[in-house]
Amino acid sequence: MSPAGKQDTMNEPRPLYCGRPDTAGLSDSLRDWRSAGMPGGALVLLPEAEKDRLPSIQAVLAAEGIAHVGAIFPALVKDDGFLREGALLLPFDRLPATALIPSLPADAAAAARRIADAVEPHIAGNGTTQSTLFMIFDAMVPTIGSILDALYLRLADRVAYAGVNAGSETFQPMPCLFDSRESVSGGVLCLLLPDGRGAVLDHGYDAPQDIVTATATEGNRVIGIDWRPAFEVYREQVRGLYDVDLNRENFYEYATHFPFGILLANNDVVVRIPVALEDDGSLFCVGEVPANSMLTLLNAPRIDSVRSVNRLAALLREGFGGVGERHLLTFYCAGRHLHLGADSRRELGRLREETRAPALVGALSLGEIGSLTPWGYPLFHNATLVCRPWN
Amino acid sequence: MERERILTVLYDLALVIGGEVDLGALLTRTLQRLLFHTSFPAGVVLLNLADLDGETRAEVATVIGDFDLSRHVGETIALPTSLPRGPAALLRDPSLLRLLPGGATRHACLRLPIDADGVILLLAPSAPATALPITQIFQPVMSNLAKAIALCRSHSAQTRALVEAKAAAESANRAKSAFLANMSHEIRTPLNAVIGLAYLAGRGTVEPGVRAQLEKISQAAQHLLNVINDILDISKIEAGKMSLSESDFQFAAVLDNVIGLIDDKMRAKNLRLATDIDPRLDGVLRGDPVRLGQILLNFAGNAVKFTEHGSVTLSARVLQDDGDGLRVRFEVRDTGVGIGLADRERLFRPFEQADASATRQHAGTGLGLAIARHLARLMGGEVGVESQPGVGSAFWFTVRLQHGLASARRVSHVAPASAISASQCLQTRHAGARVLLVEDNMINQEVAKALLERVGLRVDVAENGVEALEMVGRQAYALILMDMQMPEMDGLEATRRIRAIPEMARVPVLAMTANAFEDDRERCFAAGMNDHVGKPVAPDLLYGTLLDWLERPSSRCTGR
Repeated sequence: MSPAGKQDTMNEPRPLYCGRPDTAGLSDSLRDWRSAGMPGGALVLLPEAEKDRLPSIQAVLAAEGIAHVGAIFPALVKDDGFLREGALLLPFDRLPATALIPSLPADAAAAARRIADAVEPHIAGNGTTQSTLFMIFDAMVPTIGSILDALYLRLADRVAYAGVNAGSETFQPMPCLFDSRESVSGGVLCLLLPDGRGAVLDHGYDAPQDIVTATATEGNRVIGIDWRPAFEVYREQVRGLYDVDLNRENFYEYATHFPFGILLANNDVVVRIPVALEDDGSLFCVGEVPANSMLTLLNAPRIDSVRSVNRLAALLREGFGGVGERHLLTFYCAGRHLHLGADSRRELGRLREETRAPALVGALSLGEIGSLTPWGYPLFHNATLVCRPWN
Repeated sequence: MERERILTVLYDLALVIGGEVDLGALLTRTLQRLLFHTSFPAGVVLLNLADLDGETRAEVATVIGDFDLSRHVGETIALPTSLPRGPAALLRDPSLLRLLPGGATRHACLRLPIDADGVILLLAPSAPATALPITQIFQPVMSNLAKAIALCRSHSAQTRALVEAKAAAESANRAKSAFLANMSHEIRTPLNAVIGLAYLAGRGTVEPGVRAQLEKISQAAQHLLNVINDILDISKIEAGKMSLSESDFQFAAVLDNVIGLIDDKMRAKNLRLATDIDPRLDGVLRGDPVRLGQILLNFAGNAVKFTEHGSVTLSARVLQDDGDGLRVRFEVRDTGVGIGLADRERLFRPFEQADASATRQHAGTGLGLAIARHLARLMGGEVGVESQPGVGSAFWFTVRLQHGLASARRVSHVAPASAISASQCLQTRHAGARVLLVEDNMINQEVAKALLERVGLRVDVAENGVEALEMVGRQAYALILMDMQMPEMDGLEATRRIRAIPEMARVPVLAMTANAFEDDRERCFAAGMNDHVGKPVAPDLLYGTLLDWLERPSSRCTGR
């Protein structure tokens, strides 16, 4: 893990959106930061459509002396909308300790060891939670839930846990995590944010109205539902509800309305959105489902958006003393965005109003890490919003 | 909905509990799933609860999510009895929870008793917002967990016993291997003296009676050597360490060698020898000629042993030649006593003989045929016997051989060049050449020195590696014969140091040692030796090997 960089400034640069992140456009946008005092570091969020501009962005930031890390997402979140172009630069007075770990091993315990080895030297040696381990995984990593379990066994309560998945909305492999020198795939970008308050997370999914049972699962694949091949049952259900014939091309679009749910004993539900159809008829999810376990199939779940936003605002007040004048870092699940359609913009608007944040900055995510309770066991989620005041 | 939720959670926890046989993994996985389902951030499994004077002592078995508490894993801690004891319940007494190591920030605890000996405590900074279905889900799960813990402990005890038994067996096997290696070395060393001195004495006398006695000494020594070799072979087979080498050879040479070794006994019994060899075996073949010869010699030796009149016929037929390789059937047919059906079935088992009675006429360990069968199977074939008591027997085996890669002139030697020609060649072409004999055993020094001087070589003797290094610094040698086990500096180290001297890089260094195992040979070659002559030394083989290395051009020697 790279140690925290050095730089203290008199002024406070704000998160910056650059609509034209080529060399000239970005240099121009950085004028605001120059006048406020150039930050020592930055977290860079890029939409997938701008991925080819990454080398020039890295070069401009390097030339300005801004140490940076970042990730590529399907789209950006800015204020009440989703943007497929531009770049968001979130400033740090000084870049916190970071680790860009490429190509995590398939074995989750080994992957967790690599993360813990990078993080552990920078955290407290006792059980005081003084920092937040914010992890941005490549969404193509299939064992994030198991990695979290193994990581928690080792780091325990010495950090708070939060994070999201980056990558392409079409789930095509691509280098989506980067720092000043390189971009990598199949790995994780870790940032140790300097307080132990984590992030708040919620999905607002109601308990499902209709349940079927997934009878065979393996890692992040659902193989069988109700003792029949998974896709066979899934296709029947979608045809009955939407009168749509599922195929490989339209699969993700409809699957967002028809996710799996893992029921918990505390009345919560953990959502798993199927994102791809495998050749053998099994359904591929982002995030594992418990091995060979019963699952529920959530038919067109109703999201109580108001309740969800209210809950997020309450958690932010409780955990962070509110957002205040800070920007609200907001990651919004891409699957939730597809499911809600235009309502997702209204949901962002309500979130901004309810939290009284001057602005939302973030990205569409492909999976989220956190807990539905403020102090809870960290889990890998789909279909949620993850929020945290920025600086 | 509530029913489905309870069923789903129960099913999930039951799968986890039923899927582990290791106690540590069972407790960790169960605790992980309990935290997953309750969102409690931390938990501890306490086992071996024991109440004493208002306190309960408990072993901290597993901790998740509490770094301070996790430092006490494996330790026994004392707690007020009211914390670990009692029914499943949500406790909200911070003063009680503070007594748990690392519990200062915990204000809520879900107590889930496993049984009288254990409890799970889930810990949180505040109570959960929603009610947890404690009685519907967790109580039945805990009773299953108690049974799973008992099974894991039983499994663990059994596994530990198996591991200990395996370690004991491996230790005994290592001791047996060490004993066999030691025994082999200790018997080969005096046998070397017996065979060598009998050979030299036989060539030094013209008295027929004395020559006959010396010949019997040689035969007895050779028999003893065969017994040792059989025991070592069967030991290798039992250990699964028998392997084949691979080189180009000519079958005619293998056959000549076998016939040469039974010829005297055939003549003594006035038996006729016939051969019937498929002409397709005339070319160069690839395989293990030594082991092939060993099977043939075993069958032919038995045929001579059990035949008093008539003939012994050695035949070989190509059953299949598919271009890539050959399948060949060898047969040794005799007109001997024959074998009954019941005896035939157990012939190829180790330590079994057709006549195992105390009054049997023919000696033998009963290992040869078992070894032959294993070797034939290693070569992709099988063995068998057809026999009729009073008429004779036909022992056969099949093997797969490859077509050779080399030309006929460049195949490896199966047997040395004829003993007379090798010793004569040494005398005529290399008399006066100076060789260094490195050997610590006085009798073996005498034997080897006499054998070498008999063919005109000049011999200096070093008693160990240190002396050898001093001598090669003073004197140039055409060849060095090196023992392995010696005091002060062994042959391997001495060879490595000799090879480090630039002008000694090309001198042939031949191991002459009673360390006759394959890994001994490998260690010799790895140390820089060029060849390996096992003790007891067969003089003819020694001469053949000396001739081979002394005749090589002075370019860099390559071993093997």
